[in-house]
Amino acid sequence: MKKIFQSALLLLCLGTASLSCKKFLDVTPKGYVIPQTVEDFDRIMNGQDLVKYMPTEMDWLSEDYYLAGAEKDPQDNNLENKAYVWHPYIYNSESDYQYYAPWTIIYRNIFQYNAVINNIDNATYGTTDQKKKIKGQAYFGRAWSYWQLVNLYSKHYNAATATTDMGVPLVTSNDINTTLPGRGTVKETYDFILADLAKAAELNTFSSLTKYRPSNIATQALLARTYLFMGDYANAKAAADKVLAQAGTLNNYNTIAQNTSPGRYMLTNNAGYSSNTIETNPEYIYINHYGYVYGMQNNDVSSELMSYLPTNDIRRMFLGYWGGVYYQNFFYYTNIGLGVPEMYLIRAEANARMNNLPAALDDINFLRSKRVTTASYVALTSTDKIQVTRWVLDERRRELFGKCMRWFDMRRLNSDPNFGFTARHYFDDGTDVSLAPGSNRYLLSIPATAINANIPQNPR
Amino acid sequence: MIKGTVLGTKTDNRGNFAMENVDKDAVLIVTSVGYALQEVKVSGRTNIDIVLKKYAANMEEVRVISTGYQKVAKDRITGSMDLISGKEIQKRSQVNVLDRLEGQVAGLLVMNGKDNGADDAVTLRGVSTLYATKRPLIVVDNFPIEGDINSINPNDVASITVLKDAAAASIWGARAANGVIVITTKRARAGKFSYNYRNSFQFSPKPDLTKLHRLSSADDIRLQRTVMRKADYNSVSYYDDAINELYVAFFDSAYGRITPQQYADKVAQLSNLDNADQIKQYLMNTPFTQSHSISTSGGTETAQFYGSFLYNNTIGLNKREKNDLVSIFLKNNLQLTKRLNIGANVNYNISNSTDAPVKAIDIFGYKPYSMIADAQGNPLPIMTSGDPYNQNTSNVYSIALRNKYGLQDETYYPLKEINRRDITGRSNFMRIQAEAAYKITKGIEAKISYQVENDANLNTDFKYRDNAEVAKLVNDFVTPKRGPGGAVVVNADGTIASPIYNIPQGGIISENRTDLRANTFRAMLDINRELSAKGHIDAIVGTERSVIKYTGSNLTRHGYDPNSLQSIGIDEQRLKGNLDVLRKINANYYSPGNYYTYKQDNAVSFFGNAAYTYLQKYILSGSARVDATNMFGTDPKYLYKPAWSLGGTWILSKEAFMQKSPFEYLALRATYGINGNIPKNSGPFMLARAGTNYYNNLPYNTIYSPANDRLRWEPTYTTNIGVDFNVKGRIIGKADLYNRRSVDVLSDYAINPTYGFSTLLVNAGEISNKGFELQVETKNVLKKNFEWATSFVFAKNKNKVVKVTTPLQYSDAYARASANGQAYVAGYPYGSLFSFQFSGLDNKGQVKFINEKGDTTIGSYFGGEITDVAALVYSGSKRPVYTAALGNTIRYRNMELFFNFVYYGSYSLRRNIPTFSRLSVFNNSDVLKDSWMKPGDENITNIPSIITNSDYSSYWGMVYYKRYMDVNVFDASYIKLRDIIFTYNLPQKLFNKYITGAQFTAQARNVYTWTKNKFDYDPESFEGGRPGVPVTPTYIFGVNVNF
Repeated sequence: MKKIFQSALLLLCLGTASLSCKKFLDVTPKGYVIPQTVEDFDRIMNGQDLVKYMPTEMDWLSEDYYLAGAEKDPQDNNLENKAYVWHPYIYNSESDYQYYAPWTIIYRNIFQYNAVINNIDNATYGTTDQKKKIKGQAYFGRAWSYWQLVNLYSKHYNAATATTDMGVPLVTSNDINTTLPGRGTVKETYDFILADLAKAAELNTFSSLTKYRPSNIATQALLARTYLFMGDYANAKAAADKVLAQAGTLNNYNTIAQNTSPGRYMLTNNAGYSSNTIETNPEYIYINHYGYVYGMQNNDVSSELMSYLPTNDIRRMFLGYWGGVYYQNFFYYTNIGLGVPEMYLIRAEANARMNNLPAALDDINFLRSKRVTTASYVALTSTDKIQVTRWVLDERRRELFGKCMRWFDMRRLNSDPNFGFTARHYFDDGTDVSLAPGSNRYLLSIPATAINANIPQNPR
Repeated sequence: MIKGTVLGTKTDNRGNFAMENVDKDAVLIVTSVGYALQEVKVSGRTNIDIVLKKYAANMEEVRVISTGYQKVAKDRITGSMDLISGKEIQKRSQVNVLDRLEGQVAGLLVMNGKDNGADDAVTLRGVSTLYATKRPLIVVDNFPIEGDINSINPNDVASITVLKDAAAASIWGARAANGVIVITTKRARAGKFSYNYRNSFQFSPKPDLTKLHRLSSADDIRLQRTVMRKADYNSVSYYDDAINELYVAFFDSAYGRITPQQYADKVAQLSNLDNADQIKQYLMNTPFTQSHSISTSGGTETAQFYGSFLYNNTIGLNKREKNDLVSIFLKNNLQLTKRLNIGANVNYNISNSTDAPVKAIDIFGYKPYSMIADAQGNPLPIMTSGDPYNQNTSNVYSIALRNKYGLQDETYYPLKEINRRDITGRSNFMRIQAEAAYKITKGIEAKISYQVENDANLNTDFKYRDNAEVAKLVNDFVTPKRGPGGAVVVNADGTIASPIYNIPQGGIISENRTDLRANTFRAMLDINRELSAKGHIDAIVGTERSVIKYTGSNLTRHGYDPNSLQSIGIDEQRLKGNLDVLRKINANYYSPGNYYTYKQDNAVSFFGNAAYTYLQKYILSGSARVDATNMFGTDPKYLYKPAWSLGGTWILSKEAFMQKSPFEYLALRATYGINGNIPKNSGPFMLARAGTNYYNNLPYNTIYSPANDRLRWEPTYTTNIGVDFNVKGRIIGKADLYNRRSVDVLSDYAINPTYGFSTLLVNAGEISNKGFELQVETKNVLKKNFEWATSFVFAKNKNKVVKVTTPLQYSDAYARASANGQAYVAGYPYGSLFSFQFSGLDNKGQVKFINEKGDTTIGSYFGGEITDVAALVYSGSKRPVYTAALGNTIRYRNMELFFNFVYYGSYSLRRNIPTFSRLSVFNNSDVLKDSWMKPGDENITNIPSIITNSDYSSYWGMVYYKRYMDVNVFDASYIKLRDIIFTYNLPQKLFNKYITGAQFTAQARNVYTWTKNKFDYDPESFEGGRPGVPVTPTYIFGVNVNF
């Protein structure tokens, strides 16, 4: 028996050698990138998918385009056509849910930003400033992502109902084994965006070497856009002021060689060419592209949009004309991020809405002076608040055309007491499909795979 | 040997022995190879005659099974285990030990078909995982081997135990779900040294190439001439598309370079050519393998030795293909003290191989009129596809142009290419095992054991400077000087002006090294003790830890000169961008593919089992094992989840009431438990993929897999009920019924995309395997000079993937059909084929399909696409449900004849209807010879027209769906006469004290095949939708001498 005891003891000793196995099993595999260093996280922020994800269907929802040959009852996999008829379920199959629905794509990016926010503080190698900058940029990215989500899947911010309208789930964790948050309210979502932007402003006080990553100016620019969409014009103006104080340069289209390639590329960008002008274009603050790199290129524009573009408007050079219709041309790698012209327009609208009409007119006149031929330029003047505001909104249509903004503006303005409208898309036979103010179709359907008890579908 | 002591002696040649000072009450233990151990009481006698009892043949031969941890008498187990004797292994002639098990173990599926992956070729009781290994765990002596199974010399095998159910295998815990195959090598035995020499000479005739069912030259040309277009010339010259000989003549004729008569003559000439005989003659060897093996064993009571040496030399089917293997196995056992025994063994293998630079089957894959030699045997060029990886082709026009430029000639002459490339491999494998056993007290031993394995491989691929592929690559990456309009500037003589060689001229060497290092350490207590007169316990308890490291690297150098060993660096950074070079199609960048690999698996295990035998007829067993590895998540709930089993056996034949029954042995077994499988392709870490942002050229990371700390091994719950029987020594066998349910199988699982991912690899799948196994051996005739025994093995395995989220890429109908068994769909077996429903041909020879709505469609590009998987039909699985083997052994005096049939039943394969491409240099399957040609043909053939309508009205159907139709699925069941083995033992009287036995064998393998399909396809050679190189018979002659 003693011997059994001895041997058991021996075995136990050997066993405890094995018991110290936590460290033994804690082997970090090689051959993969396991984000650990500051540089690893920095590279996450360089992600191509973070700046190239928005489906072009978001512009097919807008009134700016005309889909030739559109069917009234499109096939299930024809996403463009389904967007064009404001189909209640544009993304309606397993593969749509996974590959095309903005919900999926944007939450995928949110995961990346969360990974940075949640882990950068413990990352190795790197200065405090580097960590601050990267984390601040991630906060911006998350706010940017939620801004898109809430403006695609929730009702437009209405101070009266924002505390009851459904928002979007505010995911902040990287743990796939946790329970998902519910949709909450639009107010909560906007509060979250503002909070993230506040952290971004606090941490990311830096400029950025590439405009594919947000600088401190970009934070203010997104803040301006967010306040505008909340109807908080004073704050929108204040934020736009900050941006324009640091970056107010506009290109003068009159001095750019029109209808020659360099001129167009100057304005639209062509990352694929050696003369990479996108980074140097002073009008760009934060660069984003469509998921489909050619964006809306070669698609016909609607006659409605054309009615906003008189022949003296140099912005017509972005259009081609063939077979009796105008189509969008030269929009490789369109920037659908943030730009200086939008800031002038935000400030102008905020001033107009707050009845600071001269200031509003100054901004849109300044913009117009760079956009219409010098010979035909006449400064606008008016003391009618409605008229000035309408001028600002019309200028938004002209300037932000092709930049994935019109759908968001349509959502914002369709029920506006002064500027509301019923949107229409036309078919080849002259009939149309319309979208009434306040329609449920202004909200996209959430992928069926994302629906659960706390994440209900939008009313259809 | 005197029991309880170390004293012993040996007999002389005539069997006499003498011992002194033997206690009169001592017990002698008498052992001899091939005879049963006997204990003889001295009882005061001084002269003792002992008659040894020979073991009964085969199933009775070995009575001790090994689980890799312990050796247990066969009648003290509860689990389902099969024991294969070394004799059965050595009788067969396959190189691989596992292949020799075919037809000997019910439930072990050895799929010889080439359509199987390497990992699911050998499975036990069905496939129970999607991402982890599907192979059984292979254990040699005490430890799993990570290296190549071919390192085991089949002649060293003493026995093989196959552990099939939970109770048998669960001591291997989280690696046991696929079953365990334990190979026990021959023991070092005390006694006079004896030697065995064994050789074998195997050869196979060259294969019958008509079995590949290639479209003949005449048919190929007939079909091509219906689709040729003059306009193709533009695309050929623009993209450097590959074109075949017929097309060259056609263009020559179309563009007036030859007369219509010359063209007609050329067509007639090509129609009569067939290169099959040339390929056989110039590119094939007669495969031949010779094998010589010598082994010895002997020693004293305190030190024993076993050693073997094996030399194998193989000449492969293709010219220059050969392989040499030297294997040494040494085993020592030392009884240091009465209590302490140490043993060590070393296995060392060196193998060198040369691969064929030009494979006959590849050349056969080109057009049948691509002759490789003229009548005098001089090399002829053939039209090829160029470099298959980059789909980068040359054709006669581009080659002519580059020759004019003064660049290297890219023309491909198969007979010259044979000597323009050296592909060699070298492998060093070493395995060392050591064990120390200390006997603490009666029936209790403490053991410490250790194994180290090292498998190092070096594969070298050297392409000479005049190799066509090298010439092509070098030429492709020449940057020319451009004149106005982008024209290449040439000198007065037509040569290219000041070219820049971005890839240096000269040979290309590519070296691939892999190194595997595995260490396992184990400490355990082994208890084997009578507890009372009625009870006996066999138990072990112990711990184990292992580290397995895989490292590898790949190095490619350009401009390499094998004599001076100099090479020239290339500017990889420059070659990454889009260069202005001569290459016309695809991206103009090149990467030599240098890389490093590293992987490490650490594991810690604790294990224990116990079997209690009461009254020698009731056995109860239980086991438990905990495995923790670095591959798992850190959630403790899952990290230390144990595998366990319970089992019971009731030996009925030992009951009093059974004494008058005809059963010599009858036992019932029942077991239940959990085994596991470890998927190694996912980890508990957040994993990112690196890339370069296209827009700003900045390096980026994208997280593609979140951390999952609940990652865990895949448990398989197995219930097994079995019966073992022996009726009067004439009918011996066993039957088993099992139900294996694998849950938490790592699978693609759809998660809420709000998490940031739509699908994840998580433990969420479920797979079920249900089956029945029967093994019977009957001794039909048992006479002194004539014996006849029959063995029959049968297994049924019904597999079903119960729960899985089908990977999203297979949610599209075409993707699922073309996955050819790779798409996992809940409710269907692993390896299921899904097909488009054929509903006849229309009067244009287009296929009519039935879509998901039940409507007929020809798959117009405009709205005729079938995306819904509901349109598909299930066409059976690629895994057989039934396997069986029937063997007969007939012995007459010194002669023995053995022959066995194997049967694989109830599974499906699909022959594809390829798309006939016009310019292609590749041959086509002869299914196309019955293609629809004219209206009315739809009544006599199911093979659609080779023409795709130019208006795209049948685009999807004719380009895609027709490849994967239900009518082309066939029942692949077959029976093969796998082995006929004739053995002649020289009569005993011829031998003397130096030579103690000799045996001659003559053997034939794969001599006859019966297939259920009517297409003359051998399912074992079927590959990628059409028949591959046929399996040829193999003839083997050998001698086996003992001295």
